[in-house]
Amino acid sequence: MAQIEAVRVAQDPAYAASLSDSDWYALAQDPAWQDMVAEQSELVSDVIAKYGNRMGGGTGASTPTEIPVFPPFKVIGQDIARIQGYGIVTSQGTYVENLRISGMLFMRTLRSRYPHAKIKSVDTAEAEKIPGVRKILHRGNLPEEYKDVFIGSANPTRYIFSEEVFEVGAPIAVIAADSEHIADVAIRAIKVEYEVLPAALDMMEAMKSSTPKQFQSNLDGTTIARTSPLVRGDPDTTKADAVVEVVAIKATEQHIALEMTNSLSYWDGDKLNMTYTNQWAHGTRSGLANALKLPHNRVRVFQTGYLGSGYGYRSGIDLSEIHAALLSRLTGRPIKNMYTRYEDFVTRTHRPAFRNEMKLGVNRDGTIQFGQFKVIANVGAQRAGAANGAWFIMQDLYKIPNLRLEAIDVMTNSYKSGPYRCVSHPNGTFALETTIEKAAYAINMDPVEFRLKNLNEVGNPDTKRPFSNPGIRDVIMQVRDAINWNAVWHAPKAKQVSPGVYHGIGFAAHACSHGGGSNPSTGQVIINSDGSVQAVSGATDIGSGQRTHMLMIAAEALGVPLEQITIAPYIDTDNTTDSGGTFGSRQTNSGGRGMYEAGIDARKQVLELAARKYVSDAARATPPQTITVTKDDVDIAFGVVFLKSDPTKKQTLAQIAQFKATAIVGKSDYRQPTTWENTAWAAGAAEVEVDTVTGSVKVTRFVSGHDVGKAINPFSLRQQVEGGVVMAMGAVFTEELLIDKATGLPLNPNMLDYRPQSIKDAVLAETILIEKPKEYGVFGAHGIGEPPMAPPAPAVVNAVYNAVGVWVTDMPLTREKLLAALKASN
Amino acid sequence: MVLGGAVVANRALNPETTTTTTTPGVGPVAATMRRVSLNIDNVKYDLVVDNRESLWETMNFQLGLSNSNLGCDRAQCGACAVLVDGKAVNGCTVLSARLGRGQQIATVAGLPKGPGVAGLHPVQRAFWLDGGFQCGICTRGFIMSTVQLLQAVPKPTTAQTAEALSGNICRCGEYAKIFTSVNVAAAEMRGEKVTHLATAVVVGASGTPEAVPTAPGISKDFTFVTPMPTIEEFEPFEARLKEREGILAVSGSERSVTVKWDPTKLDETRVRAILAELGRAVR
Repeated sequence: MAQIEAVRVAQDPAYAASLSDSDWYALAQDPAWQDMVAEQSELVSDVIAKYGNRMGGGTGASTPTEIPVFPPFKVIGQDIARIQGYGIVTSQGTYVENLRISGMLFMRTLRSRYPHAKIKSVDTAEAEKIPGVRKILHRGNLPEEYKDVFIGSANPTRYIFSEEVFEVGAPIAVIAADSEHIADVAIRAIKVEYEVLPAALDMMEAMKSSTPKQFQSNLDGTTIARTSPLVRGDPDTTKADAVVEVVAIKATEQHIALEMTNSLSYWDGDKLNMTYTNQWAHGTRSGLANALKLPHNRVRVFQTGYLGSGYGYRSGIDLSEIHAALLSRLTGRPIKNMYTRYEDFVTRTHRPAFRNEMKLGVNRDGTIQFGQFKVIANVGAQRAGAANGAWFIMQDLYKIPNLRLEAIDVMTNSYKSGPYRCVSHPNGTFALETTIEKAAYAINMDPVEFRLKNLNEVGNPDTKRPFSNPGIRDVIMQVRDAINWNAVWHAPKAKQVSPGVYHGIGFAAHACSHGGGSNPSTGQVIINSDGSVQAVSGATDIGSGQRTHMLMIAAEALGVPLEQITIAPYIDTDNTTDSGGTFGSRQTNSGGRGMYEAGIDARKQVLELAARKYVSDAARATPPQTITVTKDDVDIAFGVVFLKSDPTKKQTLAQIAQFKATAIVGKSDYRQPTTWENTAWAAGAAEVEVDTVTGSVKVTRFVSGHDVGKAINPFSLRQQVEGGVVMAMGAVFTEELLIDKATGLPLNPNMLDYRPQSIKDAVLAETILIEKPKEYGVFGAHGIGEPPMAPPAPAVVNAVYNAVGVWVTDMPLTREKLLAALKASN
Repeated sequence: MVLGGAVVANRALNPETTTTTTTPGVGPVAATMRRVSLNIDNVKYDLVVDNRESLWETMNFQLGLSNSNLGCDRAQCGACAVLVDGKAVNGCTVLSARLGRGQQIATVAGLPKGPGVAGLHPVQRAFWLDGGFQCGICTRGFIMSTVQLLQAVPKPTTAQTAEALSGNICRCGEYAKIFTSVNVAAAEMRGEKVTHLATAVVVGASGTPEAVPTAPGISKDFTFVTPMPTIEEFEPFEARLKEREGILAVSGSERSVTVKWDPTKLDETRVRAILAELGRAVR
């Protein structure tokens, strides 16, 4: 069976039309496809609408179990600390990097120093003489059966070892040695002969017809795809009182998750075991199984439950993990593979660089007349899609009667794109919300009032899918009031706070299609014979407390206190079912839905058993009694079952499990409904002080408001918002991963030169949580892992305009750019 | 797989120095190797290290100790921080061959005074229950830098805390609650009674819930109508607020305050009234 190229299915209609039923089924199992479904629904929604019934499981959704509103909630809504907390603050919690195993070897990778080249030869003779070197693997000695294996999509293709490499950092050879130091020495002793080829390093140049092609394509240069434009009404000839234009640019950003990518692999007979820093154990398993041509049950992936976060880039494997598995197979030894920080920066994924060309027409009465928005994304050295992900907010947030959306994805020989707390929604929001604010100023209208006037609170205007209980108006108004907008907002450049230093205030709203849950949503809740309860979920914890939330949801659904139920922090694919990856803000409603349904299923079984036990006990009493009790006469609270008519007649879970004589197992096979335009709503407002002499911008205040549906654990929810704002401020002011335009080499892949925010930089955001329960949400909740990342950039840019009267829409907002803009405006 | 952490945590509870030998201490070693005697949390380890080997590598790979984490391997993030003779250093960059000459190396594994939540060092407990981390990979380093700070400055200002922790990066960005954690830990170390923002789910050996120094409550963020001129005024305000009956925990900044209260004693209206009585009306 040929590998189906997931991205190409979404981007090439002729290719999609050529697929057979078994191809579609295979695609549905492909982690790359599942990743796109969760992270980039815009990219795949047309395909699913057209071919979804061929992908197995049908298109049908489960009827949602009616969400019982049993307030007061007993568990949900409490501030619960992480279940891994004790391990984290002591030395007991084991991150993957902490693992060692007897006999393990260390792996190092020799990587391409050219952005585009052919590998003519690899000479390992000198390296192999170094004591402690155990195995060197490269294209020349790769076992035949793996030569056709590649990851991602083809064109350009990333084979295990490619002859033609498209990026700096593409693997050329890997070494297994007794220590990392020996491997470091040996890797330098390998001689490589390159044929250097012309590279496309600039996104705008790469789109031109004059740029040499690097793969077969009908499009200009190295353009990957031009999405069919979305056209609503008549965007081209509609007139407006004022027309504003913005070119909004975002730089390449990287996650710098603090635990570098690493794994420990060993084989047990013909079964691969890999402990790996991942956000999706089952997706990792599928990726390894595909690459190694093994059935899924011959690969075991373990995630320890302690993970130095991920922010989106750990959803699957990269080539390095395949190399580690093969080295372990070939040496018969465990392989420890730790990326260096340089490798983690360069060879993993990034939020791509974007260019947005925005044109918005508005009338003086504050109504939007038309929008023409074009998004271009630099997806780097691979086939990927990123640009039209930004459409969601442009399509849904405001009533825009006449609209044209365009999207272009461009391949370059540089950093590969991928999810980073969303791929493209923060970019869409950055582009749209700076344009909206500029339009409000153009017609002399309060920007917040302008937004409220144009809000779309119905649903997607094109697909007609409705929003469920949208909280966007409440969010905007509460953020407005919290920052005291009506009193603080002023005309541009109207408030000098000290000589040369100006105060400004800016606003941004946000909509994100993630967090409503996606398939699969599985889980089990097991009641042991002693009445203790185990929740079993395949949803990985990547740091924001997902396993704690799984526990809380299961406890609430079943009706037991938290002390009576446990969940393992770790995931082992051998004894859990896939519940999707922890990305796309989804686990509250994916893994959480699995826990909820499994808890409700266990609860139903308990009540039925309890009813039978009441009858059975009465029959065995002296004198025997005949009574009628059904499950509707019984209830459970705080882990104790009781008769509704006489709550003093209690049964413990232990008694009920013993009555059944085997463990009680509740499970979930839930399929998410597709009825709703699942949307997370947010808004942010910033106050800044801009020093016109130095060009520095100080954020003096930031308010971040979110419609969360229902706060499962308000404590960790606030953490996600606070942390997201800090992370976003890094991208606003300092974070930009650069390449040398002459050589294609990375310029700043380290934490000093690509500078994340420290405690001294940190903007301590004020958090507003609004609870408007969603029909599709677990207890009404909607996940918000990603939305805090979006409002800071446009809110700060808008505030800077309000302070000093210039628009700087080229991120990051450096002092040089601001000073240049100020100089140009004078 | 060797999971070293648990063993060492227990051993660290014993203050007496014990000796563990992982390599025979006799005979010559290669020119690229050094024989060292490391004192880690009052346990002595005699071993031979590669002279390119960092303290983190020795602890993690030779000794199986998960006492600090590697974040960048270039002394740029502080996740690997341990205390050497009381000073925070990056374990990824200090060479083991340079240590082992009487230096006292202190890590999170040596901080607990006993088992369970109650045995944790106040800094450890506060980072957990007041939310000074999300994923936790940076936490062992942050805790050691905080321990160093609080040994020297029992009641640090916001600026002093920021300065002391500026060598540690939390990529999850949880600096707001790191400030809270430091302040709560400092208060407990000064002998004050403290409460925490969140509750831990823990079960004692007997299977019954263990008493945790926290109470169930409702928490909510409030924004001040008029912000304080500086954050330094927050602390006296916080102290006065905590004296009120039913107030369980307080954190915040000059702009806003998060209050946790006992719902059996107070409701939101009453909390708002208390805040107003203290001169800080909220929205």
